[in-house]
Amino acid sequence: MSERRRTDGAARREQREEVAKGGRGANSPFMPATVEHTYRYEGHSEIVTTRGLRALELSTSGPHSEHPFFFEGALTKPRLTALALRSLSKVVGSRFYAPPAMLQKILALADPVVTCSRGMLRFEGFSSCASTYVRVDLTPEAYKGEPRGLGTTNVDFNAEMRAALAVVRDGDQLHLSVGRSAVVLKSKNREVVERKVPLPTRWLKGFVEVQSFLSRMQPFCKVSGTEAMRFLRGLPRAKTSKHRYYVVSRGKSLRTSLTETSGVATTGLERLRALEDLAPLAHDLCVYGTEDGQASAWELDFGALRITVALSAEVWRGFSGEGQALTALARRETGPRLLAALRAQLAWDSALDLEGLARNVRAEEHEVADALRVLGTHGLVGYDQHSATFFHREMPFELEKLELLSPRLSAARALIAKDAVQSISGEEAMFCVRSRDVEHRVKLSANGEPLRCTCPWYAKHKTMRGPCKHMLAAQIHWESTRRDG
Amino acid sequence: MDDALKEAIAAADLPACILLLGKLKPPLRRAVSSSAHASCKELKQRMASEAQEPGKGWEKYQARYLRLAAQLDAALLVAIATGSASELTKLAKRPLPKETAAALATTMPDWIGDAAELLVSVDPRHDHIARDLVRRGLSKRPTHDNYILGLCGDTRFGKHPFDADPELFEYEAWRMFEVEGGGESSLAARDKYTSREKSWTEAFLRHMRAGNLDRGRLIDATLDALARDFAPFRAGWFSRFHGELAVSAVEKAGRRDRYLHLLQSAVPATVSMAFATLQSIDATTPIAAGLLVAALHPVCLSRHKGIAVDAVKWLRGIGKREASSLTDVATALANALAHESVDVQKAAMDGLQECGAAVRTGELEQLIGERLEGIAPSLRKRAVDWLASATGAPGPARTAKRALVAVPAAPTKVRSSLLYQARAIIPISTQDELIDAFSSLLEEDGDPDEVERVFDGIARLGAERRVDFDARVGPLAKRARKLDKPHLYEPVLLTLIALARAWAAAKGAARASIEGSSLAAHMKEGHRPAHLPVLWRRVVALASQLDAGTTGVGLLSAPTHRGGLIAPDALVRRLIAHKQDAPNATDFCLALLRLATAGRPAALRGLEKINREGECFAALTYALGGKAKVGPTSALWAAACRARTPRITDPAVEKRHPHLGPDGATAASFCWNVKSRKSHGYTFHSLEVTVTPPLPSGAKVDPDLIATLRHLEVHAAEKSYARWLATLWPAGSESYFARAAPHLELNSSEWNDIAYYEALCAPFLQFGPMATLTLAMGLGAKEPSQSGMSADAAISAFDSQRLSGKELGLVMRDLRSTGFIKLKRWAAVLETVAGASPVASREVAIAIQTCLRGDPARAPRDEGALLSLLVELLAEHDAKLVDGAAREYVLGTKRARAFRPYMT
Repeated sequence: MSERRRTDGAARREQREEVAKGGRGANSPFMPATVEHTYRYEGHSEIVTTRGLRALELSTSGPHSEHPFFFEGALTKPRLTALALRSLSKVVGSRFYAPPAMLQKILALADPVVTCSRGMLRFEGFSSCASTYVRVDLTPEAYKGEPRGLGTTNVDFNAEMRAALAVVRDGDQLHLSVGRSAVVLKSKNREVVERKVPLPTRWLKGFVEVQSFLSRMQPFCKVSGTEAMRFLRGLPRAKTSKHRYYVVSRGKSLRTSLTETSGVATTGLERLRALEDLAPLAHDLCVYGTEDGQASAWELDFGALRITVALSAEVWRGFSGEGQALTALARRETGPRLLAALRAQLAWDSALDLEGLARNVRAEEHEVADALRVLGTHGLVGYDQHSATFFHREMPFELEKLELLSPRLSAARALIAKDAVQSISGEEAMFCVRSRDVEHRVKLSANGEPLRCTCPWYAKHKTMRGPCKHMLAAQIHWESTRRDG
Repeated sequence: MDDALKEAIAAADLPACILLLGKLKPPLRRAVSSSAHASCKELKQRMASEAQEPGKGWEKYQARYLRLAAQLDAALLVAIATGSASELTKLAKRPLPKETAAALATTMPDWIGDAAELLVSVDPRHDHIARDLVRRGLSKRPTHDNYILGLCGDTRFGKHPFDADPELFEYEAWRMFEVEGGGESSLAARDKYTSREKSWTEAFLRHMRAGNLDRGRLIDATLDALARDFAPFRAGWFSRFHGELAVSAVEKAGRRDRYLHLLQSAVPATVSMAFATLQSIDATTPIAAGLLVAALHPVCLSRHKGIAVDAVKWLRGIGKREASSLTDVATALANALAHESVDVQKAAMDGLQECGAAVRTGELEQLIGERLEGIAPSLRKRAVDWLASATGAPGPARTAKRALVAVPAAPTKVRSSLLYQARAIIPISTQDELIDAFSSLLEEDGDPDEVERVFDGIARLGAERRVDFDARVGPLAKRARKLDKPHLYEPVLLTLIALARAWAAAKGAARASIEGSSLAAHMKEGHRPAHLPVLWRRVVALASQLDAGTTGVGLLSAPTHRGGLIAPDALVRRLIAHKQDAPNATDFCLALLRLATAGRPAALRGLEKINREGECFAALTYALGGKAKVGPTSALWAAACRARTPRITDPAVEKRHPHLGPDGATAASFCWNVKSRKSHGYTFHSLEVTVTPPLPSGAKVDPDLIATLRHLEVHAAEKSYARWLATLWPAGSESYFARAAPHLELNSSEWNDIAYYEALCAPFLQFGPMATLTLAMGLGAKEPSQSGMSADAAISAFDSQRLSGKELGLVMRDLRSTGFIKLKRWAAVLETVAGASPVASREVAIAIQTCLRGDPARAPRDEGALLSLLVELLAEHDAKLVDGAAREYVLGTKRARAFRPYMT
């Protein structure tokens, strides 16, 4: 085992050397490891008390206007909201897996983002290790007030504010503001707080790509809040990242198993601890999972608000590089037009109507769904598994700095450019892809879906993490051949 | 850089450097900066080369090295004072001289206002320079946590920072209550390994007494820190420190609301401290019931049952004290019924009954009704009665308790049919499929059935050579070459690599390619896994077959069902169809050992019908239960008799082939005991298994005696190998577990052990004493995956009637008193098992009853949870405790009262 790990490490070293030789331009299949992002807040977020009224004032940063002001209103469930935001903050500040050579100093790299859309306030966060996604959805029942603007922005979550959230009780009156009005800003004369952080590419890509997983998830089971609390408390306190656990339904409760593969698969159950304090207050817990066991989502429903924690298949793997939308991305013939048309239709809706969108852009519903997944990888839409709909939000990061296409797809296009793909005569949808000193054989289905390849990557992951670069190259070749008649 | 500055650096004269920097005109600084950087680089290189070649005299080397280090300090000082902010962050990655602040004060770069923040953000050890800059009024005070974490250093040696620098009391000392820290840099971590007099706790207290730190502010700062919900370990320091402050009753009363807030903390120690404080406040100045009930409400569901029980008890007291609060108290108590602990539920139920009829509301009844299913079976009847008395409806009729009746073990016929619960294996049919399967095996932790499937695929399809053969197997061959390293030590992977290379070799060169493989090198080693020769012989046979160009002849030993099983009729068919005169001995012996029990009579009839002669046919007839004359090949007949009756000695084979060792002609038998050893106040337990007949140490065993070979096997360090070993003789699992049990690690994480617990989950496994012992050990393992896998195995075994509670209980009885197993862990895992199905629940109850033996006065300390589980299981089944010895035992324990309802 150790030997195999070593050789993988050697492969990574080779890759790094290749990056060094080939540079990091747009044509390079490799991306920079980090992207410098600057948070610029108009002061720290805090809970302030004015004339006996407490208010949670969240400072905002970017993307389009400097300090957007999106919302002001009263919270109807102050304690619950405070606890949910604390849990979100806990996930964001956690690193469930630290690679051996990495120091803990890169904890809490990024702040959460908040989206103010029509009929919903959503707070989203992502753990430092990119393996856990968390979202708090505030429905209109959870607040009284109207949005002052629509959009997505970073919000500052600092230690002081987290401490203040800990003592919020249901009897308290608590106002929430996302951003501050220009008048308030001027009157308070706050000093701008600026923080530059190197956001890892895999973190950024994972944050946007998690939506592809959520959109593929199916509800697995629902248990009461009491059972959820007991299940979460009964989880092993030790780390469980080495083995795959299956969460299986046992009547009205849940239990973990290592052999009953019918359940929702996950590792690193300690990541669910963020929900433990909230479970006693929840109406129910709904568990979602993808069919191939690559991700799961755990949603505590409190009626007025919900908190969802999505876990990647393995703690060390994260959501990035999963290539869930690669096939859709590879098919470029209708892509750009459809994507542009769809993007124009997005209007900060908290639930995008697939049928209506399909009608408006004159496309099939499945094409629209595919295109929305692609927009998801661009950080333009999120997915709410509770209502099984996409929602509009635009990640407040400078994603254009990234080569958004996957390295695998870029590598596939490089293979096409080198004319390394050839159809094998006499065998239907069979291709020979020359990669360095070896020829890989790729088999596609009659409609161009990837079936198999002889490369080690496919041997290890099959198509669970999307197709390999050889398959993608064969798909592109197949598409172009078909198009050319 | 001018000569004077160069000389100052060479002389490592830092004050001179600062003096010269002051004289340097701003336009020249840039040039000086580059020269200083170059000096830094050169000095670092020289230090590195010095370190590599320390030379002959250590003292001289040390002097040279220290000299270079001092010169580097001077060069760094000049580089920082003349450089830019980004250069500072690069240079600050190593320790900087304390004169850095003075140097910066001399040159006053335009970024000096942020210098302190920059320095500490790179390394907390620069905190002293940052402080110096702040005190000189040159930099803003850093907001970075590192500014404080740098201060929170090791205090075991030298003067304590508080004693050395009284200015710290103005700001830094208070900020220490706001920064959590992590790793070694926190107050909790530092004080854990520091003597009391040198600790931070003592330093704070000492300076408080000296009047340097305000006592009231310290109390408030501690409470503020506790409100921040730091991690429990780090929050613990603040609650302990709060205790050390000996807060007076007046001081506590003045901060009553803050303690009430702390009851909502996520840290149990903080809640505990706040709880105790509030109780003392309430004792002198009663707190309004409304406030207390609201604050205690979440505490009733605290993860720590002790605090939850105390909260429930306090709520009951409040209800008694203020009748007006009874409704709220009852609601809180009803909520507490959701707690998973029976003790909390019991206290809440007692409280609800104390509240009386006055508090009954529809809402409350609904709340209790919603929680009814989650209430412990021993209390559920009380809750039902409570609800029934509210509606006036009669409660459930009381029925007489019955004895728990164990489900009898399934008859052999049923057990045998379990073969078909194992999934059938579909052989590889094309070369492309073979390439796919082979490539996957090289990347994964080899599934043993898949390994055998690939072996069989090579035997049947490997010799086919199409025109594009080399291109097809090229990627596989390349991967195999890449993985083939001399220091790779994973028997199954080594074998697969050797086989892949042999397959991809030129026609006729397969055998030769194996000789040059890492597998061949390992075969020459003295200390090798016992079954490596088996793998070697199989690969050699396959390579020879490839060289001969033989196609269509599959392996006799290829399993037809998962778990390494071969359906008997399939083996008969294979042997009849075998083209060679005599099958490969290793292959055939292995095939015999893999024979499944189900379908043997029909297969035997089929074999007898064709009436073929030869030793192999005779051995197979014998293995299937027929009559045959024992032939001359000892390994063949040993395998045949082990397949025929795995756990019984065969006199006929024993007579012809004596002294083959355990599991030759003589069936091995096992006994175990736990040995205890005391060392430095700790007791260490170890399990010993002895086998009869014993295998002489250093004995050489023919690799074809596969069953006997198992007794020589070392504990398999690799999961893939351990899994493959289990499939060699599926019916002989006793020797497999006997060999593994003494090496299983119960109190720490030994990741490869999971393979042995996986073997317990095989649906056809017949639980003998060794398998049951391994299961009982697994149920008490600390590692969650190991105990979880054992729980799965127990559930499956109980539900399929392959194991009874009685059988498990007898092993548990012998283990219980040894101290080898933590009974609390057993209770927790058995509770999971019991919750899986009614059958499992009943069998667990029987297992616990069976293990309760001995003198109650000498009962293990952690037995309480096991007894509580038994009470709940008896209540769930509405059963009584009929096991006489167990009754006698529990009546002698402190829990006798809890068992009384189940005695009659």
